[in-house]
Amino acid sequence: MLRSVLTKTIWERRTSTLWWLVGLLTLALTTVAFYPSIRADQEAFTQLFEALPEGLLSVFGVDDASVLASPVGFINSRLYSSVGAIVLVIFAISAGTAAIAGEEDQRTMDLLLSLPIDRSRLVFEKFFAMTVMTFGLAASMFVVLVISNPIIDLDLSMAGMVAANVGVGLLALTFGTLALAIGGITGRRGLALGAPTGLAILTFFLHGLAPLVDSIAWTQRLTPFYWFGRSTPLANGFDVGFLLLLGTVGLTLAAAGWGFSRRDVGV
Amino acid sequence: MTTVVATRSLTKFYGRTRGIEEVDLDVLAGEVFGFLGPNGAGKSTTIRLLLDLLRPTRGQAWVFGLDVRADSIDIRRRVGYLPGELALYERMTGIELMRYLGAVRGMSGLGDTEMLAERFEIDLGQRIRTYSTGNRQKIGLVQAFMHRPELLILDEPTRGLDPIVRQEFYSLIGEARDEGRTIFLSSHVLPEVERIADRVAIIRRGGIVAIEEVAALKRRARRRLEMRFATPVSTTEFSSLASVQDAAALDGGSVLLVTVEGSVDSVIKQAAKHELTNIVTHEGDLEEAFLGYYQEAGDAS
Repeated sequence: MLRSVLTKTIWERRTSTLWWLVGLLTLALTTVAFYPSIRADQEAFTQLFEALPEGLLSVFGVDDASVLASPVGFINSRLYSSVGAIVLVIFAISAGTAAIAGEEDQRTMDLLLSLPIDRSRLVFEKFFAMTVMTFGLAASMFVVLVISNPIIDLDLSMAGMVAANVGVGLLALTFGTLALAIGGITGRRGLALGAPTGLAILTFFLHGLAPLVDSIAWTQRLTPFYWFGRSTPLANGFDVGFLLLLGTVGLTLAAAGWGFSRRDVGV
Repeated sequence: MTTVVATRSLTKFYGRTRGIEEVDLDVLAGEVFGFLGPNGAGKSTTIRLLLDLLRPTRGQAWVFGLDVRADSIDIRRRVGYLPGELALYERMTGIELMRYLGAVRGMSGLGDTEMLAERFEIDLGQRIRTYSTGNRQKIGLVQAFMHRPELLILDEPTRGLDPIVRQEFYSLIGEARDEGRTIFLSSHVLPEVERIADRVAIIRRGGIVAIEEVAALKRRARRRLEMRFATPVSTTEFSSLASVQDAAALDGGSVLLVTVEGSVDSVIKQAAKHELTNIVTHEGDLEEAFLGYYQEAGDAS
């Protein structure tokens, strides 16, 4: 595991990643395990949800309370529109921060860059490690869904399950790569961690609440959460909005490589 | 003789703060070159420019004749570097760190790691966070030497090392030189540079004050003579001599402390005019030569 920057980066986060994995697995398992009790009393739940204020539901990624009691609606709201997505975003931001800014903050960058490795290559390997870990965590939710799908009779399509987890991974990477890029350009750990976290919180609420206010409804489209979830990928499969996320990740990665290659390190 | 490290007008400002200014250096193949100066003088800045960790404000630098900016990867392949502010991956063991650094260097094995660890008497099986400062520094030295680089760039290599380990380090430097490798090391420990370096550059406030052979510097060194006379002698007899930097009286004038630069001939002849009962000379060391430079440079500025 110590053969390259890529594998070493994954190796050194193995323990903490395991805990993130336990967390996400627990979330996914409790979500699917809880669903049968909703189905048993579907009408009552639908009435209950419909009685809730629109704004509250909206924040939790529900724009149509009538579908919330359906398997897709319930699982989507828990795993891909709120808690699950947020957990993955935070994980990616922490991995993106550690990539360059963290290494510089701990002053190990001098040693690493005394090796014959190009800075852009370093950024890319760190990015790749973050990507592997993020999609690995998303895959854990995928596995839970695939296994429980026939058992609990969730009626989820394979295309939907694949798309939702690829999409949520891309969503997380959008913020994680931003953290990596801020670290690459500035070398400041606090900024690399704080700015994407703040932006994630801001865009999460903007995505949920903007549609309720006509004058700012359009700002929903500025959020990565919109481009990931606008067509409910768990129900409808891949969406072209994913490409926008992919493009953003690509551009941000290029900025990270450029920014890190041109500046002084460790000052 | 080939030049391994060369800098011309190398200048680095951090915003408006000066790091180094107009530094010209030539380190020749096979020599041990000492880079001497107090903390904050610009030693680490110069070294980090050579490794492309910093980008110069002005000027240029070459290592092995290759441009430090354009050809940094090729340079780093052939250099062993000990950072001045050494930080290691705390959660790795020593041997894991060596495996990692070796692998990223493209080495198939661990190179000289085992031999070096044995010489420095360090157990690489421990987690790095449990190591003392001295042991961390040993790890830093092991990784700098492990791939047998042609050039060693060592920033304050003996910091935190106990005297016995220092001796081992000095002999390692000697062996590396005998093998024709080049060593560029910074220090603020003067007797150390005097002992192991062939040439020394003195840097102060971001500028090179002097570059000299250590042997020549020693010749120019100041010596302190302690002379005891049977009867008190006036200091003015000595302070008027050209070679005397300073003269002070003790015991009411029966003991004189005289600081001499260069030859002591005129002082001895003057002393011989009196009844001289004892004389002790304190051998001039680089520190005195070094301080001499500092005072002159300080007076001039």
